[in-house]
Amino acid sequence: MNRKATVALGATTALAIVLSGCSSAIPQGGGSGSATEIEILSNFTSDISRGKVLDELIEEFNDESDGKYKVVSKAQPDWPTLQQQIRSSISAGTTPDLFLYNYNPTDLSREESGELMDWSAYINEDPEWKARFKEDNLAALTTENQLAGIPGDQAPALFYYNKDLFAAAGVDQFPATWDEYLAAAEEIRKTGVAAISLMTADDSWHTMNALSYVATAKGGPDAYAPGADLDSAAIVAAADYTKQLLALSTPDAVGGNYSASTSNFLNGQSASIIDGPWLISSIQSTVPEPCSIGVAAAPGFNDGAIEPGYTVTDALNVWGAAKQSDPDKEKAVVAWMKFFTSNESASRMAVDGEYPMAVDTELSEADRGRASCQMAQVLDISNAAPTTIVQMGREITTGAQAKLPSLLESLALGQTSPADFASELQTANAE
Amino acid sequence: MTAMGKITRWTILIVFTLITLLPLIWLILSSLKTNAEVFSNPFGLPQEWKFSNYSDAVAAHPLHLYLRNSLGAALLSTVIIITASMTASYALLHRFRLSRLTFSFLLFGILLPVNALMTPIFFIVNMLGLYNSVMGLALVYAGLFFPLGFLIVKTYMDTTPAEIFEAARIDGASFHSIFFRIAAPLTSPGAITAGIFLMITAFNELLFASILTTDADAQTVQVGVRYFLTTYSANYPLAFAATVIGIAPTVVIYMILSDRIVAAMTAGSLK
Amino acid sequence: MTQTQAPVVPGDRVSLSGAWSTPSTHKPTKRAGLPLGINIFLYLLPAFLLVTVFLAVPVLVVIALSGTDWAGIGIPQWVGAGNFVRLFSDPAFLKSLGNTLLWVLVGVFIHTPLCIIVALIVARKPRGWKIFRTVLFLPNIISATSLALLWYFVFHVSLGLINASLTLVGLESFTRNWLFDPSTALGVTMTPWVVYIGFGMVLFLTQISTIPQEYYEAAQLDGASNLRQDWSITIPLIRRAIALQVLFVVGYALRSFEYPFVMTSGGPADSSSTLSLYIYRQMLTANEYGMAMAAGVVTLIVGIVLTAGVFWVLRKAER
Repeated sequence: MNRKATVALGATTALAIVLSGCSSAIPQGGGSGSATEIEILSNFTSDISRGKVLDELIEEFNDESDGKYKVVSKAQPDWPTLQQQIRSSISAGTTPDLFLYNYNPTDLSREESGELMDWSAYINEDPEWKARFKEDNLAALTTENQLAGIPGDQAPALFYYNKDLFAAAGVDQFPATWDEYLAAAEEIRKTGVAAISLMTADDSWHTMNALSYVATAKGGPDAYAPGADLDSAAIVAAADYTKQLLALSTPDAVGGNYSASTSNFLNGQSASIIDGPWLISSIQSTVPEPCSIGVAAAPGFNDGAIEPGYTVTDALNVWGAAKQSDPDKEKAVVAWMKFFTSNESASRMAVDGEYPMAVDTELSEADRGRASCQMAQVLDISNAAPTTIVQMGREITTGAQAKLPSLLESLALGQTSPADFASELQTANAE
Repeated sequence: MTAMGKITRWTILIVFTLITLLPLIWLILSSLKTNAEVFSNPFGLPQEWKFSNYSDAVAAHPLHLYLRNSLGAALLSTVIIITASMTASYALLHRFRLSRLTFSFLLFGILLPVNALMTPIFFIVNMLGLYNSVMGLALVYAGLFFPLGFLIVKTYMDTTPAEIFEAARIDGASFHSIFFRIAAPLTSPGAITAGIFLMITAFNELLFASILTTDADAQTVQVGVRYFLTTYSANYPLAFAATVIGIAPTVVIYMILSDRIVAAMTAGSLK
Repeated sequence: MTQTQAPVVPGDRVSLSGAWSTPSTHKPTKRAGLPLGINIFLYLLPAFLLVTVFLAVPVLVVIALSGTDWAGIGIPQWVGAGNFVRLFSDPAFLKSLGNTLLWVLVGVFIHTPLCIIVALIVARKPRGWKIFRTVLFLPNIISATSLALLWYFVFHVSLGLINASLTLVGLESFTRNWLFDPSTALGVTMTPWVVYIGFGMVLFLTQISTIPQEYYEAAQLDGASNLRQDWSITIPLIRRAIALQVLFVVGYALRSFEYPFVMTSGGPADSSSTLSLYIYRQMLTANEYGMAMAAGVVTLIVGIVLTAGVFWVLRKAER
């Protein structure tokens, strides 16, 4: 008994060690001698279209560099986890070579950590490269003449709407004002489907898109800019409209998450949604008649405070890099970024990856022809937009962000009035 | 036993059995539907049995690597915990000055909100150079789940009749041989209970697995399943198929061995 | 020689940490080589290392950071008790704290009795008892996040099994948005207290199986009913297992995360939030690591108080 038990224990230990050991032994093989290797950490997993294109681009880059560089993609599917990993890595002094993070003007801890590579010298010596990015974005990322990262993407949040469901309710034209939209929504509801997909869990993304559009339409581009007082007429009005929209949404909107909300739209349970271009690949793969889904800029107000056709966007996502002691690594990072942000790569990312990048992207006629019905519209609307404004949920402090689900749910359940919503949000944002 | 009592007993058993089994049947059925059907027809049979979900799930991600990593981390952490729990429980059979304090120290972790430990543990794993490795994950699990295993093993060892040890001692057996020849073998049912519980807990852990790993060489099944539910493409049937693949090994092993496993758990220490 | 008098029933121990021997009774023999104290130390060492590196040191870090405004990066600034003051004026935290205590209460006073009842039924070995035993334990071997997702769908307002069944039997007026109705959300996220009956059951079965059969035979001769036997023989003799179960329940309640996270994200309006979820949100959404650590410290204190309570009740019961 005793001996048997000891032997069994030993055998299991050995097996366990072998199992865990082989995992670290395998990936070593196959490397080409002296290539400078850099790792990219993002949420571009290889099963989504942007991840597939990234993998292709990496392969081409590695081939072209002729053994000089080796780029490796590491992906974490869950965005909050990815951001936590990046923060902790920066803190622990093991910053990833190149990583995608969300810029937030109220939290510059990553930019100011002293662990990030300064891109300014590289971008200033190449004016052509520099011209590919928006001045505003580069300015936002610059502190004390140091450039903390390269703008990655800034996805426009646009209305995707089901033309068939709108037509069934007798609405032939996408509404031009929010009041027309609400009237149309009432008609749509009479046909047994919800007018709009909203959700309040996590970052309340879809609901905050709606709230941001109404707030900026009422209060102008600076309605909730950092430092603005959120206890304002524009935010109160936005909360009021949001409350009405939540009542016209699906029953699982209050408390629901992103997946629930998009599934409702894709399955025809709701007639519209305000989302980013990543939705397009899901539309193409799950909606039976993909081109029955139209794309539109958000409605406005007749006496609106902003020129119509503007877009609200997701946070600016930025490619940050680690400060390197090895100059070759820094060169590899820059070489890759130049390759990745070239017009050709960006076109492929937009068309095949459904991921418009935050660089000047001119599609060739051929690329345009390959673009899906929605992507072509997204690019047109984006190009025609007089202004872009970052979504409110991305501009307020992280402390206020954490309170959003609770505040929006209280608003929807009638526990909080629109006026109280605005003042509580202001309190949270000022803390 | 009255008829009334009989009905009550059977009702209780059947209700809990249904609560257990219905969701699992639902999981398997849903893994064979299309994404649209999961939402449009959540509780019916699939209109078209999509067995291709399974091949798609396997093709989309290296699930076999995830399984290997999960098993490796679970097995290794369990072996470490059981070994440490057995020796510590045995040491604590001897009363010494700080034995109560030691006991409390070894056990206090059972009360910790482990979420809060995420950041410090991230740093420690990095310092040990074990970031993104199965070994690192296994050690973290061994630490986090040690109190659970220890509590079960210790409780079990305490129920071993003192006379048995006493007799051995009078026979002149040494400290070590009492452990190897008496304490450890007699505690093995408790250790098996704890071991199964620990394997399962480690196999199913998600939070630390996702924070401490970044690629397929170290990521576990639980992280792998998350790939199918990312913000950008929530594909429930594929996620369900991957879940079924992920839980199949434990369920199959459990089903085959359940009689022996549960028997070992309930065998008692009296010989 | 030994301190306790030859216990016949293993379940009849004096305390959870029942040490049974003093070093003085154990003379080191020549073969052992090392003094007893060193041997004990060596045997404790692996456990000590594990707990120190992965629990004690992290907890010290958590305690230290709970007094700072650390944002996850950079140098933490000391703010003293500021985080605790903010915590106790944050309605979301108070709600999470209250909910966690409710989790404990439901776990101890509803879940644990349910486990005991099921264990008592199965222990009588009715027809097919092995199947029930196997099946009821099954949820424990499946990942919590996957199971939570299943239960999300069961309670879902428009897709859910519950509302579908209610409608089917004509009880449409009882259908509701279980997950996001402020009056039901908390209850619904406590699903694990129903799903994980099997764990407590096996724990109790383990202990019941150590009770000598003669006890019951004697009671049967006296004409005691099954219920009577369960009440006066089994339950007193499994009190150690009950204490163990209560500890597990408290521990589980304090770290309850997956079900509220997956099913309701703590909503609507924090009505189903728990301490674990609050900590997670403070770190990953708000980047308020200092606040998260302070909430962790509060959780730890609650845990210590509850455990001390469990041991205190247990010791009273032993007398």
